[in-house]
Amino acid sequence: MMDYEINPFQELYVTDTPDPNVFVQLFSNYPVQHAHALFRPGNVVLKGTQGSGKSMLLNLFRPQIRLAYHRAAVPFPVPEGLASFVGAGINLSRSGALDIGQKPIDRSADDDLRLFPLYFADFINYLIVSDLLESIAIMQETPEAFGRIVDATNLDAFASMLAKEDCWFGWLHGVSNINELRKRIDQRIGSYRTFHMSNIALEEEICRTKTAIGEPIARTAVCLRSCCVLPEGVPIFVRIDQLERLSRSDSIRPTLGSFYRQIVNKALGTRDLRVSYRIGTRQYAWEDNLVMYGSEDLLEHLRDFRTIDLNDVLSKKEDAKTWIFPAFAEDAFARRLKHAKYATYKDSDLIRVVFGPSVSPEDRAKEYCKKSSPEIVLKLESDWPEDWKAFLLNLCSQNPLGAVLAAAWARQRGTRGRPGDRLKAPPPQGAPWQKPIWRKERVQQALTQVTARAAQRMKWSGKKDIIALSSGNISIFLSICHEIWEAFLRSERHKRAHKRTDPVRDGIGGDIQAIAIHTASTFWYEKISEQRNGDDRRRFIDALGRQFRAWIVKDSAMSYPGHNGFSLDNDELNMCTWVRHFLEEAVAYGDLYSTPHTTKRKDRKHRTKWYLTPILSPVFQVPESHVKEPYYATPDNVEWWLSRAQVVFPNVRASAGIRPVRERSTGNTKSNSASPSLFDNT
Amino acid sequence: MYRPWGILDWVIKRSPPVLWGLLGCLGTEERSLSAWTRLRALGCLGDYRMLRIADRPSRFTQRARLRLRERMSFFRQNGGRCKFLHNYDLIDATYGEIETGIAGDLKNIGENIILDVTSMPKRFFFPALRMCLESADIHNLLVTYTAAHSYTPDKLAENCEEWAHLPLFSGTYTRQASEMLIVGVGFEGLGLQEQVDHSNPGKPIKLIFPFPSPPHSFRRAWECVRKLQKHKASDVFELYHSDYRDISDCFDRLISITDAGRKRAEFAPFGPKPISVGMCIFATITGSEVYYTQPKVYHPDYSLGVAVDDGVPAIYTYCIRLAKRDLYSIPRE
Amino acid sequence: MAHRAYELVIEWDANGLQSHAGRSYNDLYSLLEFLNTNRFRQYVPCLGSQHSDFLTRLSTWLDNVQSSDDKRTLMEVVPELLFFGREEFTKLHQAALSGPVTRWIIDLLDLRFDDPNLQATLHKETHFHTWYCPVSDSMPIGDFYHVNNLGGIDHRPDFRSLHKFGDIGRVRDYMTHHENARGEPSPLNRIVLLEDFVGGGTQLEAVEFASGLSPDLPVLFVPMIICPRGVEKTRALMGRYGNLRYCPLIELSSDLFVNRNECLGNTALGQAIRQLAETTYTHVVGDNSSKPLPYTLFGFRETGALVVMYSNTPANTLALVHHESNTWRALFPRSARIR
Repeated sequence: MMDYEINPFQELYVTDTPDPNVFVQLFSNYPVQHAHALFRPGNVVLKGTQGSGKSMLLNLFRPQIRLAYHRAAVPFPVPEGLASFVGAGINLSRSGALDIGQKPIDRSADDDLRLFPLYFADFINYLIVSDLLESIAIMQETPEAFGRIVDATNLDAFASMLAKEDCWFGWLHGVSNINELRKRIDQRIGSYRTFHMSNIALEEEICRTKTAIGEPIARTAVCLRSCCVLPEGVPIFVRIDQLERLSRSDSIRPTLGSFYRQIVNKALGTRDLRVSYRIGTRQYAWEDNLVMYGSEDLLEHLRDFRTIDLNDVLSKKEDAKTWIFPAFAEDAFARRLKHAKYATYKDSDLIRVVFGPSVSPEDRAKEYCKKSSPEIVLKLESDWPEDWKAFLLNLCSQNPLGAVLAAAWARQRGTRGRPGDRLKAPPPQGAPWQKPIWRKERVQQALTQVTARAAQRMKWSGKKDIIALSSGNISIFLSICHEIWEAFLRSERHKRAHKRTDPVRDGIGGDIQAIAIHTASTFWYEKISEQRNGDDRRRFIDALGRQFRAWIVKDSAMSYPGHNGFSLDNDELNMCTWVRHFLEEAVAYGDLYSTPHTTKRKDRKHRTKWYLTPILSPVFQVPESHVKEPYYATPDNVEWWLSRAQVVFPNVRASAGIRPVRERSTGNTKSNSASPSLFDNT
Repeated sequence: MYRPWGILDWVIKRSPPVLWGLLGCLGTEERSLSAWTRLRALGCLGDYRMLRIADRPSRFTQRARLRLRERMSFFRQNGGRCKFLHNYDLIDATYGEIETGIAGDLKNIGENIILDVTSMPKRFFFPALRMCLESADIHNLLVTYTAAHSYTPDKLAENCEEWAHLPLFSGTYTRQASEMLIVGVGFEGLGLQEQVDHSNPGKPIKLIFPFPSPPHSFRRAWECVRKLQKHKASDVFELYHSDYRDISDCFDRLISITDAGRKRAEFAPFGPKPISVGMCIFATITGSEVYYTQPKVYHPDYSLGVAVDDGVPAIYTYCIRLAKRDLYSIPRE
Repeated sequence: MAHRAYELVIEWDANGLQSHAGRSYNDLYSLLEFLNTNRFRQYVPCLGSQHSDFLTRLSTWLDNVQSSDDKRTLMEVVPELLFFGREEFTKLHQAALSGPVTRWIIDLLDLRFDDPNLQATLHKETHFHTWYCPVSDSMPIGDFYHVNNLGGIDHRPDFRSLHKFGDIGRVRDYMTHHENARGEPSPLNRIVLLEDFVGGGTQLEAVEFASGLSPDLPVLFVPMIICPRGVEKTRALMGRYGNLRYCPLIELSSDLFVNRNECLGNTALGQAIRQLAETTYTHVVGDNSSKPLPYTLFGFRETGALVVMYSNTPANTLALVHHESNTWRALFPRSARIR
C-alpha cells in the first residue's frame, strides 16, 4: 500500500555522499557504463558540474561503498574485470590542505613562497598514504567483499619496509609495524593541523623532511606489492576531488593556488604506473593550468591523462538515439520508487507512466488562450487588412497556435521582399506557416508570445519537458521529481483512501506537474547565489533572462526564434579574459551552458553559444529549447549585461592572468574596477 | 553556573575595576563604534585597537566608502586616533597576517581585554577570540556585541566563498569522522543549504535556533530551517532553542548535545553573533572544526541604528574570564 | 475531503499569480505545511477529537470569503502570524530566570562578579528567597518552576485572583514568615510576576496590587510577550511605584500589528489585511449568537495583534483569525475565558 507521507525523492544528493547503505540502492550504474576508463590504470580527469554524477562515480572508489554492496548482496556496478582495485583519496576543502600558505613557516617571506608548494605536496602525500592505509585496513577486515585481494599477513613487514624508504627522509625511522606506521603518519598530519590552529611552530624535523609529490604514495604501492599485501596488477587509484579550489578559490592566494595546482600536475606528469590519479574538477578549471611544478613542461592530454567530461557524456547530441541521459534518469527514477516501496506495474518507461507525455503545442496554446479573446492573443496591428484579420481571428478560435504562427509568417518579408509584402496578398491556401522546419523553429516562441499576451504563465509537464529541463543533470531531474511528488502528495494526503490516485498506475496530473516544475525552477534559480560568487552571477542571469524574454516576446515576426541564447567569437572573447572567466565560471556552476557554434556567417570564425541552463526557463518564462541562430553578441554586449547586473570587475589577479577589460572603441581601460582603496581619504 | 552578562554599564560596574583594552572593528555600521564610545564615556577605556576590514570591490563600494567616512568622522571627532586603526583585506588577509596583527594588538592593549565582535567578520573574530582564550597574559576578558535597531531587508551579504574552515579552526586531526554537524541558524543560508544538502545522509544535524529573538528575525530563521530541511529526511534534524543574546545558554547547550565534548562535532556558525561566540569558545576548547562560507561583500547598511534596551544602547557584554578564571569550561567527570 | 486550499493554490499558480512577497502560492502552501508540522499542530484548543487539523481548517477558513483576492489575502495572513509554541514558552521561561530575574537580584543585592560567593549567593536568593507567581491563571507557572528546577515554595497564587480575593496582610505575613521544607525560616524577600501574554494590559491591576504591598518590597514584572499598549501602561505604573521593575522577554513592535493606526509597517499586504478585516467583520460576528463577541474587528481593545500561542489565541488578535460564528469559521479558534 502506498505511503502518502513519504516522498521517494526527499533526499536529493544521497548518492553524492558515502552513506553506503542508501547508496547501494539508489546508485544508477549508467554513468559507469560510459566511464570505464575511470577504472583502468592511467590518470583520469573527471569533469562535470554538480549533479552530473561526478561525486557519485568517485564514491565507487571508496571501500565503504564496496562493502555496502557486498553486505546488500548487490553486484558492484563496476565491470568484474575492472573491479579489483584499491582506492584512496582526499577532499581538498575538508583536509586542511588549503590552510598551507596561510601562515609563515620559515623565517623569510621569500623562502615561504618558494617552499609552501613543497609543504603542500608533503601534506598531500601523507594524507593520501594515510587514507590508503585506512582502505587497506577496511579491505582486510572483510576480505570476501574485495575479492580477497588484501593479504594482511605481511602488514608489519610492509610497514617496516616502507619506513626504510628514502623518500621519507627518515621521518618514519624506527617504525616496525603497521600501527606504529599509521600513528607516525597521523602525527605528522596532526602537526600540520595544530600549526594552523595555534601559535605552535611547525616542528623543525617536518621542515627538514618534506617529501616530493607522489613519491611516497608510489613507494607505498610498491611496498604493498613487494610484501604481497596486494597482488601485482591490482591498480591503486588516488582521488583528489574539488581541484578547482586550487585555481579559482579566494581561500588561497592566487599565486599559491596556481603552484599547488602545478604540484598536482607534476604528480600526474610522472606517468607513474605504480599509482593512477583520479582528479575531480569542474569544467574549465582544468585546462587553464597544465604546467608541471618546477618546469615549463605542460601535461599532455592522452599521454599524461585522459578526460571524461560527464556533462558532455550526458548531454544531448545530434543523434538523439545516442543520448544516454533518458535511460540514466529512468533507472534512477525506478530505483527511487522501488526503494520507497512503490508498486510498479510496468518495468519500463516509468517516467512516462507517471508523468505522461508532454502536452502538444496546439493543446498548450488552447489552454493558455482559454480566458482570452482572439484579439488579445493575436495582438494584430490596427492597419492589418480586413481579410487577414478575419482569417486569423477565425483560425485563432479553433487553433490559436496556428493563428499566431500565421500572423508571424505574414509579418515576415521572406527571402525577397520587404516586411508587409505578404499582407498585400490574401492569406495563402497552403498554410506555409505549417511547413515542418519553419514551424518547428518557431513553435516555442509562439507559445511564449501567446502566454505573454494572455497574461498566463508558461507550463511544462510530461516526460519530454522534464527530461529537456533536466538537460543531462541527474540532480536537476531528481529535484523536479521531488517537487512534483511533494505537490502530488499535498493534493492527495487528505483525500479518502478510495479516492486517492496511485501515481504509478494513474499518473500525476499536468497542472500539478506544472506548478511543481515552476517551484523546482525557482529553487535552482535561488541556488545560484548559494554557490561561490553566486550573487553576481545571479544578477547577471537575471539581466540575461529578462533580455531573452524581451527578445522572444517582442519579435512578433518570429524572425529570431533562437534569441534565447547568444554567441560570441572565441578570439574576441579570449581578449576579454575577465568576461571569459565569468562566463566559464557560470558554466562550471551550471548556471549557463555552452556549446561550439557552427556559424552561418561567411567568416566561419570559431564561436561559442551560451544559454541559460534549461531548468531556469520557467523562472524567466523563456523556451528551454534552442533553435536556429542565437543572438550574435560581442563581449561589449556581455559587459553591458554585467554592468546592468552591477557586477564589478575585480582587481587584477596576476597569476590568473585576469585583466580589466579594454573598451573596444577607445582602447582605454574600463573604469569599472573599484579601486582606489576603500579606505582612501578616510 | 551563572556566567554574567548584560548591558555594558551594568557589567563594567560589577567587574574588576580596571582600565579596559578594546579590540574592535570599525565598520560601516553605526553600532561598530558603540562599545568604544560608551567605554570612553564611562572613563574605563585604556588602549584600543580597531580593525578596518575591506570587502572585495562591489556594487556597494561607493556606499560603503560613504558610510566609512561617516564612521571615521565620528571616530575622529570623539578623540579616536587613526594610528590605532589596522587595515585588513577581508578575504586576502592570511591566517598569519591575522594572527600576527591581532597578537600585536592584544599585546599593546594590556591584560584586561574587551573584544567587540559587533562588526567583526567571523573570519577575524573567531581567531581573535581563540587567541584571547589561549593567552595566559589576559587576566580579564569580556566580549561585547551591540544589537542593531533593525537590519536591511535586502541580502545581508553577497558572493560567499566555498565551504571552508575559519582561520585557526581546521580542528585537531583525527581519523574518526565527526558524529554531527551543529549549525547556528541565521537569516540566510549563504551556502549553508548547499552543504547541508550534500552532507552524509545519516549524519545528524543539530540546529541551534535563536530564540528568544525579535519576531522579524525569528520568522526569517524558521524560513531558513525550512529550506535546510527541504532535501533531507526530517529525522536527521534536531532543533534546540538558544537565547540569541546569551552566549552561556548556547555554550551549555553544546555541552549537552555533545556529551561534554565526547561526541565529535563540526560547527557551522551562521546565526547571531552571541551564538557564534558560544560555538567559538566550545570549538576552541575541544579542538573542533568550524566551517563557514565567508561572504566577500557585506551590505553597507547591514544594520541600521543601535537597539535600545531599557533606554540605553543595547551593548551586550559577556564575562568570559575574570581574575584569570575561565568561566567557560567543559566539566570533566 | 480534499484540501480545497490546495486546489486554489494550483489554480492561482497556473494563472501566474504571486503573493505580495513575490512567492508562488505553491511555495507559500509548502511553508504552511512546514509550519503545521513543526508548530501549528500543537495548538491546544484544537487538539480535541471534535476539531479538524490545521490544513482542513485552512480550507474552511478560505471558504469564508468569496473572491480569489480575499482568499489569497487570507492565505497570506498565516505566515504573518506569530505562533509561539510550547518549546518557545519553555525557552522564554528559562530565559526569564537566567536573564532579567538574575540580573535584578544581582542589582538588588549589589553583587559583584569578582565576589567569590557570587554563585552561592545567587543560587540561594534565586531559589529560596524569591517568590515567582503568575499575574493571571493563563500563565503556566508550574512549567516555569519545573523548567528552571525551582522548588521550595508551596503557594504560587495568581495575583489577579489574589487581588480580587486576597488579603494584603496575609500575603505580607506569608512572605515574611515563609519556611522551607525543614521548617526553617526562609523569608520571601521579593516577588517576580510572570505573564505569558500582555495585550492591552488589563491584568496590570494585579501588578499594581503586588507593587502596593509595600514600598520596600521589590517587584519585578516579566511578561513573556507584551504589546505596545501593555508597555505603555507598565511604564506608567513604574512611574507610580518606585519598587516596581519591568523586563519583558519579547516586546512586540507596532509594525507587527494591523489596526486603525498600523498595518504591518504600512506594507501592501498589511493594508490588504486591514481592509479584509473591515469588510468581513459582519460575517465574522454573524448573528451575534456566539459569545463572547470578538470585541472589535481588531480584537480586544483594537490591538490588532497577529499572535497565536500554542495554549490559546489572545483576544487581542484580529477577530477573523480566532472568532467562530454561524457565518465564520476560525483558523485558530479561541477558547474564551468568559462566555
